[in-house]
Amino acid sequence: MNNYLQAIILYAIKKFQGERSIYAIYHMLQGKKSSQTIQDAHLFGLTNIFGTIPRFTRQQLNQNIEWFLKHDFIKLMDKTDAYEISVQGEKMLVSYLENNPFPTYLNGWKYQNITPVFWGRLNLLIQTISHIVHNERRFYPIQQNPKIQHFVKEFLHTNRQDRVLIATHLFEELISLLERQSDLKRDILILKLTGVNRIGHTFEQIAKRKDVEEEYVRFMFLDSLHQMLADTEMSTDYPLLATLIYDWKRSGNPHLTQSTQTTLRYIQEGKNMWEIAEIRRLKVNTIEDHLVEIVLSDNSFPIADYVSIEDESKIAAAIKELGTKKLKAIKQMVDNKQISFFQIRLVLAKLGDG
Amino acid sequence: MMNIEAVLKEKFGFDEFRPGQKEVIESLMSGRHTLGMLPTGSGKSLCYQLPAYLINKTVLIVSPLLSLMQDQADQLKMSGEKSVLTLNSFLTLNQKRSAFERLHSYRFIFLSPEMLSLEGVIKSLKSIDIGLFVIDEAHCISQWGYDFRPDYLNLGEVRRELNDPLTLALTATATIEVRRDIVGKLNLGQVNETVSSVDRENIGILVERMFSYDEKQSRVLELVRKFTGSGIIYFSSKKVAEAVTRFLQENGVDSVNYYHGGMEQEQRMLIQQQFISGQLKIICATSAFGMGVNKSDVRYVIHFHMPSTMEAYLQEIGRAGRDRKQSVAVLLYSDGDEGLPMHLMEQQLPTDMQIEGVCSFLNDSQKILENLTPSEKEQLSLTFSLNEIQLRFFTQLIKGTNNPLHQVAEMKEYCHKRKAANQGKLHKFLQWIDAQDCRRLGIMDYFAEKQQEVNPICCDYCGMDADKMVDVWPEVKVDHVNSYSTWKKELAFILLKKETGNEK
Repeated sequence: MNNYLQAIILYAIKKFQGERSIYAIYHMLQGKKSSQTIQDAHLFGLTNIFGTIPRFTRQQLNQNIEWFLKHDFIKLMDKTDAYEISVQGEKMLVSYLENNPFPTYLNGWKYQNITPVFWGRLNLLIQTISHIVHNERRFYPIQQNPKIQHFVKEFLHTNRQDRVLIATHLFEELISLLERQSDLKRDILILKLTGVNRIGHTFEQIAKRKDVEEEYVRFMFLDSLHQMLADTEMSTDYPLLATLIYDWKRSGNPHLTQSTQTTLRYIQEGKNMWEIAEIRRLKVNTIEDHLVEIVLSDNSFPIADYVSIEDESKIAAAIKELGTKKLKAIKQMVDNKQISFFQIRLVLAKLGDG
Repeated sequence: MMNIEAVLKEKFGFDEFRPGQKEVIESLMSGRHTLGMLPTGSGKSLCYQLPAYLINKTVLIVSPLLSLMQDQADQLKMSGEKSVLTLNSFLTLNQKRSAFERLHSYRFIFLSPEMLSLEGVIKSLKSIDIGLFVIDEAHCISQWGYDFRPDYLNLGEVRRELNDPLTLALTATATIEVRRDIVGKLNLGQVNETVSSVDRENIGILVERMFSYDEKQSRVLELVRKFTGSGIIYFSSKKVAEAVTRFLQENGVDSVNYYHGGMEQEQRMLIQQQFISGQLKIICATSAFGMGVNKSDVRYVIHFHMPSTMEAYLQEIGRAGRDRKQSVAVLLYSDGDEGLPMHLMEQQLPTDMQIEGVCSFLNDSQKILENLTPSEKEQLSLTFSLNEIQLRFFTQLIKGTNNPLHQVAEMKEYCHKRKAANQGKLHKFLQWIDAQDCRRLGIMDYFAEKQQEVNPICCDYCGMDADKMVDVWPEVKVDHVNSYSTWKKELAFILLKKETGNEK
């Protein structure tokens, strides 16, 4: 294995078990907000890496696939562009990940949208507070996005306390959060920070300094941010950092695609699938995709309108017995002409990852 | 009238003007349209910033590059000015609406030329009292300038609609023809021209002839080991900029990094700020680097690749020595280097075939270019293999419902003329490289200037070289290197004020 990116791609190939074309990997890493990709993320247990490399290109993918083929890490399946990991590939992946552990807190599906916003705000807030505390009024904002700048301005406007106090709270919350993280992760995060008399380092510079790969640094940085986000969400111990994401928590379900949100509104108004398809001039299939997506993001969503409780338990039993997520196998198992693939997908979605 | 020196001190904290500034400001304060040509790094923006506090009406500034505009606005804000608006296409509808409601309340309004062609913008601007209309980088209005922007052509009309406000056209480098073009296109009529010399006396000018890529590479290594302080090395290719960075790092030059347009925004910003703060000493950059970078103590600029015009060359070497201390520019040239800028210039304009193709496509499909969807535009680019700049050429020249076929001949002629003009400029620059004559005189000659005094530290032709430059090198303050202790201590350094009071 040459690098961490390859490990991530190979990991995805392994998870897909040859059931999707390699372009599903591309969409997964890019975080494409389509029903297909979102369902795949859950179906194949790839929610962690969803949307974690927005810069990923098809060219990068193709080059790496070629390399894997040349080294017999993967095998072509019957379907075009679908590959399965080989025994050799599996071995290499395991040994590679032993030395470069897979990020454990990564949750791209959940945090994809908020991560850059959270980082931008944190980054600029720290820079600003750092300068104020050290009596330096002039500095060049390291974050250029006007929305981020506006947020920090508003933040300081609303929180009128003593700046030194804010700095101390910020310091304490960050220390407490980072205490729980690995050495490498917290060093990366600290090196990325800009403050008085110091400008943050680029990923490449950190990689060189720490003698690890750049892609690994990027993933560890994401892992660090995601861990902070999870801890901030879960606990009331980080009130200051929580305000950096308060608007995200409030804005309903940020995971749904635009189109699915529209469908959800109609459902809440009491319309059924066929009516919605008619109103929206979409195929019923599409509305079905939306419903699966809704259940994936909220598995307490009632599905009784679409699958009877009796059928649901039959399907669930089949899934449990087979230990697979393959729709065809499940359908054969329940052996009931009345039960549709859509209903199986709904139950799968409700059962969640695992 | 308030004393302009007093304003300079009070608002900007300077004791004296830099050459050219006072002349421009006095000309404006006497109510005359002014064309100010001030060399890069000589504080051009002060020429409109200071009058704003004397006129007490809104100053409108048209700037060609978003980044440049943002930068100037940021710098104003950094110096404590709150009343600054930047109008660009990134603002949300709400932001735009609220900005337009309070338009009269801003002291400085920056906008990009394309904003001026939007409906309603002119109307809103008409409702406020514009004290000064500033056109930054005014050479962009001239088709014979080295950086023509078709957007700028409308500015004459905009001026008329705004009722001929007092106007300041600013540029760093413009030949006589270009200056004439600026005045004509803007309909300025009577103009007071304040032209400072293009000569940067404190920059030694060296051209070194090389015979291979490897030779250039090792020469760069020698030079950066010789020269202390901050330096910029310019490249025409992103790949080469990265490769030479690696080469330098492998040879023990630690404080070097590359910068180009292909990098992510955040990484680019970090590198730029590291360089400005002195944390990073050397930057290997494409021409994407430099606009709006205000760093006074850049000691040297090396050209690994030649730029395509004298104007671009001056712009780039002008980033050295803004503190007026001795600095140097070294151009490394080897035969055939002109191939790259030639190729880049070719790609700036469409070919005859592309012009014919696009126009007949539009005619056949009865489509209007302005109304094409992004995917239709992409398809169009793919069909006729247009790059972004070429596509923009068409969207800027084909307006409205006119039959595009009628424009074919006109567009072709225009492209031929521009290509010829560009090649002429490149040719002239090559002649300067080849000339057996004083470099400084050559530059001044290009701008029809006469030299006043002989410069003792002049150029390679007048007997200077890199070794002799070292003898006259100014003392460089060595900053302490940021060492990293522990993560906790680092975070404390950033966020907590030291109790012991041993700060500077």
